[in-house]
Amino acid sequence: MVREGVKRGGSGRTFLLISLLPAILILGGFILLFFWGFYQSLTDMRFGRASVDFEGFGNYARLFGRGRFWDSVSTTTIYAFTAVACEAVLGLAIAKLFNTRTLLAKWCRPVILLPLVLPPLSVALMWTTMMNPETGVLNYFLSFIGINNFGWISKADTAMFAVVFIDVWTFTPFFVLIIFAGLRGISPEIIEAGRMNGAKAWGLFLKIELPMVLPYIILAALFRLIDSLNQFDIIFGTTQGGPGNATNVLSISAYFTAFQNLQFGRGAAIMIVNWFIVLISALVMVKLWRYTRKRVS
Amino acid sequence: MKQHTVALALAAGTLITTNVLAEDFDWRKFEGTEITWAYDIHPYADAVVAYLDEFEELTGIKVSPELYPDDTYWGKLNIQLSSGSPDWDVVGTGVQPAWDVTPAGQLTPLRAFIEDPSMTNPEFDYEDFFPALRRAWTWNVEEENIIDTPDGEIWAIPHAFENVQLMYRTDILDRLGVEPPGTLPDLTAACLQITKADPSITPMAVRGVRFWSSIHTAPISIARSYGVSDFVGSGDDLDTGLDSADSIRFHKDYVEMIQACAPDSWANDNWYQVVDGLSSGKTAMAMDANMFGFWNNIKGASEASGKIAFAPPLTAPGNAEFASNIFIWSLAINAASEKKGAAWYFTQWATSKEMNVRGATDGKLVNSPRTSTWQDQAWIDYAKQPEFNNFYDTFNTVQPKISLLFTPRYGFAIAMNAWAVAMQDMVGGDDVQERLSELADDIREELE
Amino acid sequence: MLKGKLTSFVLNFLIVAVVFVMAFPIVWIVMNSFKEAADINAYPPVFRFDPTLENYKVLFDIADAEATSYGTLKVEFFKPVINSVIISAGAVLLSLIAGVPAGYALARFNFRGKEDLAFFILGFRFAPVLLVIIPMFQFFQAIGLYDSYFGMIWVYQLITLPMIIWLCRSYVEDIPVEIEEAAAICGAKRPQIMLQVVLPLLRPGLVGAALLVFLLAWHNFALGLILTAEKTPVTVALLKLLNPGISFYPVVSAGLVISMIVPIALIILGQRHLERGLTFGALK
Repeated sequence: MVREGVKRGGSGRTFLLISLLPAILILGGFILLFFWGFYQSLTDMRFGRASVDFEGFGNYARLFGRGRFWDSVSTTTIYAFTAVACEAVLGLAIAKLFNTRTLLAKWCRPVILLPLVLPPLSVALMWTTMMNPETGVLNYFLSFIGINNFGWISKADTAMFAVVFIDVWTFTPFFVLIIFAGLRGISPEIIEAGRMNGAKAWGLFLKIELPMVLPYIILAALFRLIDSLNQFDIIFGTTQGGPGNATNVLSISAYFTAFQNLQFGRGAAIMIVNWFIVLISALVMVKLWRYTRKRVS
Repeated sequence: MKQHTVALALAAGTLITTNVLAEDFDWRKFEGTEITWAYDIHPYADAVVAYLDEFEELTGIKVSPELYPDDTYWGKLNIQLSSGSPDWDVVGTGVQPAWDVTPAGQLTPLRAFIEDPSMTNPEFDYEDFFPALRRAWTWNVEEENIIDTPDGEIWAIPHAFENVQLMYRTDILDRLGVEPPGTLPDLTAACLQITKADPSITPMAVRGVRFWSSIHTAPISIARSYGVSDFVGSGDDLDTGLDSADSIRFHKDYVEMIQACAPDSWANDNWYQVVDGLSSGKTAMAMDANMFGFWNNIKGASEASGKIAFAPPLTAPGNAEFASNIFIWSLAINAASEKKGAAWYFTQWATSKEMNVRGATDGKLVNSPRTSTWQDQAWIDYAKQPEFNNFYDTFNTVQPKISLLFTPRYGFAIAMNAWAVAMQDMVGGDDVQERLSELADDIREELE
Repeated sequence: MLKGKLTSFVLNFLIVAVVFVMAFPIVWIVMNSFKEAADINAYPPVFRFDPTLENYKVLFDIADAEATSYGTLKVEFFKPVINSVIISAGAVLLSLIAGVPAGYALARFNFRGKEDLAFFILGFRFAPVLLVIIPMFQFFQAIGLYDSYFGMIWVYQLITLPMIIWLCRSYVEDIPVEIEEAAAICGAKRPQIMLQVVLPLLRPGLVGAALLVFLLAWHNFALGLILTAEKTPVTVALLKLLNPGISFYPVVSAGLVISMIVPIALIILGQRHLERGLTFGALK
């Protein structure tokens, strides 16, 4: 009776409308702005110059013809998918770890969220200092296990690793929190039933716990993927897209094009492509999420 | 009666000449107005903020400062100016950013104000500013392009400027028995000497961040000595000068120097890392804006106090002529401002002779853009104190050779940011000639 | 027995390792905030030093020493923290008020275009803020919302609202329909059911979601930089501590510590609710 189609009864419809309307209005106020941004990507608009010409898809054609653009696309996707995959796996492991009945687990749980209290752009300067190859504290620790002068953000071949590292450190807690709650929500009876059927810890995990928290992992991955594909703060604060073009993701490239080189039309085109990549990835993740949810019920 | 009048006139005349601000100029023309002044968070801003109360007393104009973080100020400035918002009346800006906003008419032309005796107080003396600085701020705009014209329109008044010099720790170089180098290869040799004598010291620090600001300090100054220009020709013949034989020669020497001398973190080093290295004694030498050395020499400012000395920028081997690039922090008026008169009053006051000397002797407004300041005894006495070493004399040596080494053009940042990226690639191991060729291709494509 | 002890030991060791990795940068920053400039960049890194309160004094304009003084420029760190709290908390509150009913509706109702609508709501997060920041600036100036709490809270909905709606939808779908149906049989109307039956069950989950979303809003920089002048959030204020005239690393560290206090306080307060779990599977 509660889960009904809108066709039945006016009260259902009114309730539906009242529930959805505020959210739609609040967000809808900005929809025109996005269309305006898309329109600007079709022009040759530049800051500091009054004349603006319509160019159709000229900006896009120019982008797609450039090797450097496709490098940015691959840099962006590698960065985002690597970071999110690491965060999902680590998040699950840590959530399981803190779900055990050891004494430390209970007391240390608040620490899980600590990385999230620091705004990435604001703390980027500190990361730059910590990651200094010669005087940084991270290399100090690494020197104890024989690794010397690791490049972190200063060398082109380690920069990507370094920014993914920062992303994973900052946002794994996001996964931990969501997965942990999912684990707690699994009713003890189901676990007991499994144990009585002779399942060992690993089997319990694979057959019961994992499928039940999988929708939450996917949901968290969905949110993180959207943000990671758009990630600006972490990379801008540390490498600004370098060294060279090693970490030149689309959001950075768009920033430079639009706000440094003042070619706003072209920068907007890069951002629209970025948006499109996010759209496709989100579609896939949402389908995945719905599939895993169906399996759970 | 007549004698009385003459005597009175003489007395009044004396009064006028002994007052810095003349009495018959109406300072209170815009009293009651409130204006907003936007600037970078910087000691230059501090130099002005310290005396805002005085300005309000003098003119009856209330100034609200809006100060922004260093790197992000420019983004906000662009957005404010391009949206035509009247929020900001007086804005801090530099010549290069102005090349990008004047074609759309976002700054108020100032020549009319300067030449109007009813709007500009007689003590202002625009000619007092160093010629190179005045020249840098003068151009015309035609069909949304910058036309470099010696007597064209004036777009801002210099407030303080940065002058690129070589700075070094006297205590470290003395201890290790190394002389301050003159040419770029000399520097590389000196670095190897330093590293051999004391491996814990980084020989040299320069900016390496992925912005044109890294080019603006060391590279473009030294490159000029090699005969390299960012652009050659003009108008339709404008072409990049970065793939010339001289340029390849310069870049090979420069990249070699970075690899031998600069810290591993070079690609991420902005001015704060460079200055920090010098002031903490981690680095022996640096090439950056000279006022950083000055500020760290101030008694009690850092452990480097009194230990930083100055030298002209490095040159090419076999060429004794050095070049020193500048960045001119200046005050401009938003074209969309609704209080231009009051804004101009603030501008001329903040850049006046008096404010320059005060700001300089406060230890903040370095370098002053006015010739008179550098001849003012109060400033000379201050700057010649022992803790500043050869700061004053080196300024005088370098000053005749200062100029803005970038070619004025709209869209200045595109090519210069690309240069900084190419520099990172070359230091990272890319072949110099190939990478420069690629850079030149990119720039030529953009020129079309 | 021994195996149990060994497992316990290994688990505890791993927990300590995780805690160390998560907490170390924060601890390092706290330590740095009590150091003098010379100690910060020392190598090998300094773990034992004479602490100083100088950096904190600078943040609140009560420094005497000239070395860390910002001159006559007011540092003003307290107000931006308050601004961030008002804007982030306000945004989360508005998102809860508008988002919880929307999430509930998406979970319980079926109608044509439902998944499209849900995806559309999510879609507001797809584009980078930089794309719309200029028209947004002009728009806000035109309607007088520039540099206002109300404007910022509204803009932050782009960050907070879609996530609240989706998380809420997921939690509601986990609550068995039978509970609501039982209440309906007892004569309760839909709004009543939602407020008195569903909401209490959702509370633990919503606390977790609200906390996460608050932290993400707290992180934001670009919107605060462009759309405010006086009501700048703490993320912008932290960057304002970079001044060419001074050695600012320790002061920035102190600023980071101060800006950490509110989020950490909220985490500790919210901990209780998170213990109870985000779903109510036990009722099955």
